[in-house]
Amino acid sequence: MNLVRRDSAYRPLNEFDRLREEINQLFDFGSETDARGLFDRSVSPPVDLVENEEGFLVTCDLPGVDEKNLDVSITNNVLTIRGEKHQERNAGTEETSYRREIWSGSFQRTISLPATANADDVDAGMKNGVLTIRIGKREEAKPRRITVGVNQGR
Amino acid sequence: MQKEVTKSTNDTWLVPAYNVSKEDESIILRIEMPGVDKDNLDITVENNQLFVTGHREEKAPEGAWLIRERRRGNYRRVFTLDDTTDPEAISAEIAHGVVTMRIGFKATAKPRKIEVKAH
Repeated sequence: MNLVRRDSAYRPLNEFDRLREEINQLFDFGSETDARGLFDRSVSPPVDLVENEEGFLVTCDLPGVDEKNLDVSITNNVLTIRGEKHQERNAGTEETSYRREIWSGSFQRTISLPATANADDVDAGMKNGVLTIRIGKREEAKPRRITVGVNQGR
Repeated sequence: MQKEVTKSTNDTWLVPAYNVSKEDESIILRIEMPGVDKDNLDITVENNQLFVTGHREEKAPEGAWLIRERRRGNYRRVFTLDDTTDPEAISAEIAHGVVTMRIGFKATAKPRKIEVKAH
């Protein structure tokens, strides 16, 4: 939970991320071959969760995933994004693969939502390989303005 | 057209994942660029270098971040085309945030069958 507003200002930590990625690329770590295994979490898609006054916004990068192969559900305030990503290829052609960095297979991601989330008020949409889920807040959790009366004198 | 070139620029580019394969008589290049649509994709060929750049017009939402795992920024990946590929025969399309490019070979690089005549 964070109350600090982060904007697009210079973030030195991003530079470390970039450096790490460049080093990984040099040695080819992080490619599909070592991203295997039952408990390997490296294939779970990256998620953003933002809370504002109206509700919550979940954004998830799912390039190459069809809406048909995607299942989004909320049970007991736990959001589950589940789906399958097929390796894209043209049917009926002979294919020789030279390099494969894009992973394929099934994935699942669960996110615990705060208790203020309203599971009955949810919209989800997919655009350009990015999944966006908007979740409303319970009425009683929305901020209410309370007028403070000032009593004159005493 | 195998090795990409790591270019050091002042801008921070996100490095998108890609697959390369050969299907029929062309090279297929698939690059993952979630959040990029047709209008924000820029593909140029310059001196045998293939630049694939995707701009994401995504504004960071206002509010408190509870989870932040996605990286923000624009994508770029540079590939070197070798002599056998034909820079004139490149086509590209984008769907579901995945760019699919088809790169053809030059006619001179294709295997040619030579007829043997009998006298």
